[in-house]
Amino acid sequence: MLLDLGRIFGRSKRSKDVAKERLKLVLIHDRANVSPQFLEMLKSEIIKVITNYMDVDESALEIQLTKTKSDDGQGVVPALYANIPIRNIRKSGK
Amino acid sequence: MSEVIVITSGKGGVGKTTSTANIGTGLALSGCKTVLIDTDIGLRNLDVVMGLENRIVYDLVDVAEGTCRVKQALIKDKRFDGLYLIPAAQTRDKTAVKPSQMIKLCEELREEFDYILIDCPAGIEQGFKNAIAAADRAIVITTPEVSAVRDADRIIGLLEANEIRNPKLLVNRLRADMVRRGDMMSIDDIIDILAIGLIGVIPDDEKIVVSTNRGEPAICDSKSVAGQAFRNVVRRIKGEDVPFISFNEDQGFMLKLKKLLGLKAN
Amino acid sequence: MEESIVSFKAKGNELILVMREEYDFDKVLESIEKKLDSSGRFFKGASLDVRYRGKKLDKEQERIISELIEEKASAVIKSFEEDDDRQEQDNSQETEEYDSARDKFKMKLLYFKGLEEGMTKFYRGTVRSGTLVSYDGNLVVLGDVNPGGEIVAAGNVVVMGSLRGMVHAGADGNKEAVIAALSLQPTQLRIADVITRPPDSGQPRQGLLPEIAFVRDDIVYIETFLPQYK
Repeated sequence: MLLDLGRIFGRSKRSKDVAKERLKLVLIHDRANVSPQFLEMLKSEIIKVITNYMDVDESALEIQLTKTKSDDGQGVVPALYANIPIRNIRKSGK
Repeated sequence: MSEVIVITSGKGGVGKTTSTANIGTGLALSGCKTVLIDTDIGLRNLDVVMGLENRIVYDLVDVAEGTCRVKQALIKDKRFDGLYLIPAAQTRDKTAVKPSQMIKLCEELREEFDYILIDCPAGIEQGFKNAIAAADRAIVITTPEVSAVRDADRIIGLLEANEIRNPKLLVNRLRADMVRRGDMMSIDDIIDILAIGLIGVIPDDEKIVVSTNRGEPAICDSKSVAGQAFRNVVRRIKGEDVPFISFNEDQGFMLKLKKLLGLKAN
Repeated sequence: MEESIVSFKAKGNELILVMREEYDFDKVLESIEKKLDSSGRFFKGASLDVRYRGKKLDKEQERIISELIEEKASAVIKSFEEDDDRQEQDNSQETEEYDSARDKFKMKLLYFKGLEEGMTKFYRGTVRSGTLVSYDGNLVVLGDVNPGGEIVAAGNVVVMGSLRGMVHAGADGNKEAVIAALSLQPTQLRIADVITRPPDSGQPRQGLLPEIAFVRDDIVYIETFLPQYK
């Protein structure tokens, strides 16, 4: 929402919107059949590989499953979203 | 042409049995020969909702095990011709029936009935597998709650994995007043998430409780709003194009204002 | 085990005698005698068509066993011959044609007869929905039977509480069996092969009123059970 007048006027978010948002998130995980442990494992593996090439801020690393429009623009598909702040690129590789 | 339709939900208590009883009664009222099969072995309830509990001699397990012939297990409804029930066994469990036996039973029933409605148990285990084994179509029931919608999503996935294409959604116990206030997900919200076709919206109706108490489906009650909604579902099942009554939230002052200002409403 | 040498099966008006081939005749005869000593009273006064399976017998041996059964069980043997499969097949076809709810219950010739005095089980507690309590004798429930609960007994059933579920008394064929309860509001009652259910318009009664159900001429009758007026 770009600008929610309701919120500006001090009204809290409608519960059905909260429900919908929460549901969407839960379903992404359900549909992808992914557990939090799985994500943690993925995260540590990614860090392992990336640190070979660049210096990243591990504490600020953000990784989550979300959804995005599929290529044909028809449906919605799950996507892996990763935000990895880079401190320095190692020119030499390993 | 006969069809096997499974009525399922994943989550318990959203109204599978009530819907099966009402839709089945509605189909019979509209002149289709209909049989209802309760596959909730060990927790049977369709017999009570239909008011036929004291007529049970044979049940689904007897048919599956060959203790009796299919005809012997068909309980004729006490009010309507052309409506029959095959009850579940109560003192057995879900493993007493196998999917292959359900397929065989439905093949036999197809010869005699226009519609075969299967009341599915809650859950995704053996009982669910039995219930969907012979189904051509599926109706997924949900209520406008996160838990029910989440389970419905899981069920839709499982139905598709089992090659039951295009399941239809029946939203039960909708409260228009709460939707208007924004305190309940609207039909659009649910469809947006589940992305399947809608076959009906049943408003929350006290008369459902009353009719279940009496063992008479609400669809017989001309004053019941839920009954009316079920009549529409029946017509849609039979292929009619019945418009949906709008249960969406009000275009309230704030929203209208936002639109006036050219802001996106959501 | 002794028992496995010979077994009795009842089918319609027939007694089927199954004898293991590998035992010699004297051993078989001894087993039959023992078996008749323990259960022969069930045949008392019956007239039986006896058919045997398993061991082949000659005429003399047939006569010996036949006489033994007549003597030990005080039954009349109408015929005594070897069982052949062909006849059995005919029988099974017949049962398939038989269109009635009654063939659900495998009524036995040797049904439980200990209604006056016989094996009795006492079940303490509420029989809840989905529970099946069964016994090869009389059954007393010290508690309620809820809707969806099932009681199946070869003999009488007495419920010291409210009976709202399904009860089958005389389940293997004894029509003399009775069902009594402090409050009789069953989903369904069965005595031997007779099934009954309460009328659709019946109003549930409040409070306890002991009643007893029994069968006369294939109809279930229910009477108030107040012994002082009897």
